[in-house]
Amino acid sequence: MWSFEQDSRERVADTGLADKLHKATVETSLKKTNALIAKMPHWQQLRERARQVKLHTLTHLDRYLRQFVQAAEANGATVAWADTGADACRQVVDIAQSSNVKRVAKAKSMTGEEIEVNRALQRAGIEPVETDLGEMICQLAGEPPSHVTAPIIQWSMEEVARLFKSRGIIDEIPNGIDGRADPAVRALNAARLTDAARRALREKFLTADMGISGANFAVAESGTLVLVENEANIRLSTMLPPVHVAVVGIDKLIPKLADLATFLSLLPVAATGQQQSGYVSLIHRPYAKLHIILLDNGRMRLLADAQHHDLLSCIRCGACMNVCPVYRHVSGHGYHSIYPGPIGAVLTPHLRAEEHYKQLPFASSLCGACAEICPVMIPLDERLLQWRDRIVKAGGRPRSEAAAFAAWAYLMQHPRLYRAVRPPAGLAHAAAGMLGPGGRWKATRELPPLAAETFADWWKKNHA
Amino acid sequence: MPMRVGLFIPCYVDQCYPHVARAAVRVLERLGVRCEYDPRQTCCGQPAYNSGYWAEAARLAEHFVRVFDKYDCVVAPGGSCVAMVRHHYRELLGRDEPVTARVYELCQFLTDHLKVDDLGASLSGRAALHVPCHMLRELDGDGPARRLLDNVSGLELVDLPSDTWCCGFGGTFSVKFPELSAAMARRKLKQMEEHRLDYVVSPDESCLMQLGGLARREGFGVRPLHIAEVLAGMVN
Repeated sequence: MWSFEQDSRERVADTGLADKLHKATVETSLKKTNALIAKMPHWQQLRERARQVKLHTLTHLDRYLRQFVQAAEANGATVAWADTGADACRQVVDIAQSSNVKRVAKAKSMTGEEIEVNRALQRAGIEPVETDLGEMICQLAGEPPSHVTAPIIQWSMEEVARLFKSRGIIDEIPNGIDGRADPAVRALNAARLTDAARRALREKFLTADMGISGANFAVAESGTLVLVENEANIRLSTMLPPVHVAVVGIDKLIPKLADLATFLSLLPVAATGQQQSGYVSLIHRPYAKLHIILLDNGRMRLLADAQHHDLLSCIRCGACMNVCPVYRHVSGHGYHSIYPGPIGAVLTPHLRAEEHYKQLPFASSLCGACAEICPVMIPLDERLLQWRDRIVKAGGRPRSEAAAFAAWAYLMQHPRLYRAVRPPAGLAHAAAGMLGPGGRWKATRELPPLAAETFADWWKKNHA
Repeated sequence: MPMRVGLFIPCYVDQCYPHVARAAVRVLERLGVRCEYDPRQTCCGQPAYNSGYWAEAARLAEHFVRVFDKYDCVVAPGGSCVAMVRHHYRELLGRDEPVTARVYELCQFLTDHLKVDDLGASLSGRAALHVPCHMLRELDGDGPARRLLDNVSGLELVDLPSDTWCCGFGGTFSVKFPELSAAMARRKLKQMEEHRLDYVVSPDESCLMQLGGLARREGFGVRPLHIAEVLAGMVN
């Protein structure tokens, strides 16, 4: 079984990884995010409004789904439903095959990652081309994205340049791209690399027979798909090819176009520290043939979960990852899930049946930074705690741990006994048993000794 | 009838860091607060709660209420345990217990209840303030502790980007993932050392157990101090 602990140990050993993640988050996106929030006196109001709209939509999702389907069909789109990821993939492949598609331009889409649509296309002999710069690099490198909005968050510019050279995208690795180089030179080289990627992609855009996207929002009243991006690759993927397939999670619904004002004010600030994103596309009447596949894939089950259904209000900004000290040490890959960080730790065990995802809710120090930043106010720390409660109640933890906690709680309810068993037992002893091998603390830190005299004893001597 | 003030001494402070509790008593007594201490107190239940053992935690919450209900005010030198009582007992007990709202973290009690910002303490050196995450986000933030430390003569409080980062303790998190937990503490300590700090001061000893435990293991020169020790003038 995949083990978070084992995996995290290896990732922590590579201190360069955490350095890169801190640089990309604390020193870059978060810095910008926090600076913007400081200038937005209505930030909290926006968050509350967003939460209210999302919870309202989820409560009446049946109605809004019907409304969306009707409006989208009236606009000229074909709308279908997919129960599972496999179901959605089958439909995408069917559409592609019926249009004799050879090459697909893919807009960046977490839903696409979730259902692994690229694999399904490849198996059917169709070439998917990731057109977001970060996703393109992931695809070339054969690795999954490490962050929902910054797929190559832990890549250095040098690493990108080396990859591009090996794939013939650039001829030479330019001078002055390492961390010590002049920032102006680095910026110039970054532009060079982006330009090379753009040229490589241009031919793919022009020859793609189909575009696949997700959606950031799906507006019920108008049947509009809303896509937010910075590179215009989504615009090209959805408008150039003659067929556009959008795979949209049913959690993406919002009631009205006017609600976009709230969400478009929050999303770019939380995601990348931008006041607005470079491009916002509202796809209303399709340019091409438009297929919308509404994806369930576990969402309906989660919707029925009275305590956790608000996880479906996530707008995939990735801010909870940026502020998470665990994420900043293990990266998105450390979660073994396409949805990493705090939201991934609570969402993944709902969406995926594999037992090893039950480790993720424990992979947090519960610092609460995630809930504090979340633009739609999901109390992520509470959800993490509730998962732990559920897992324990379902017998999902080692029996020795459960027994130790029971014994410890008994001791703590019996003060005389608790005080009498010290030393040699006492708290440290109980804790050592409770927490598994006693050496686990000492593996990395010094353990404080028990004091010669407890405070209780001192008080008794001096005050009582 | 005079106000009854009860001391709530976190279990690990009672067992491993009694000098921190004694410092808190000295600070309070110097301000004329007469405290009581009920030795039937044990643990607030946070380790069980955070580990998912809510039934066990609920029994300890009941025990806490039985012990502390008699006081008009409860003061604790530990922000995390206070946040546990104030914000999570409701869910565990399935009811509101009035005593939970009468439990104060020491700094909060001094600045908000007693309206005291300056204890006339002095300590020379440069320090970072580390406020435990649950105090930072569920109680009164870093305000009270900062105001108290600003008035410690000779002490230079240095703001670091890492001030609000978790120390990596997280209760049983620290032993479930010892390397990850230590890495979180190491990153904070490194930043403190880069800024040539002498101390890391915190209103919570559990964070200091983590930071201090790693500092000692790896030879970081930053010394952990509980804010009560600083305010009581008990730093030697």
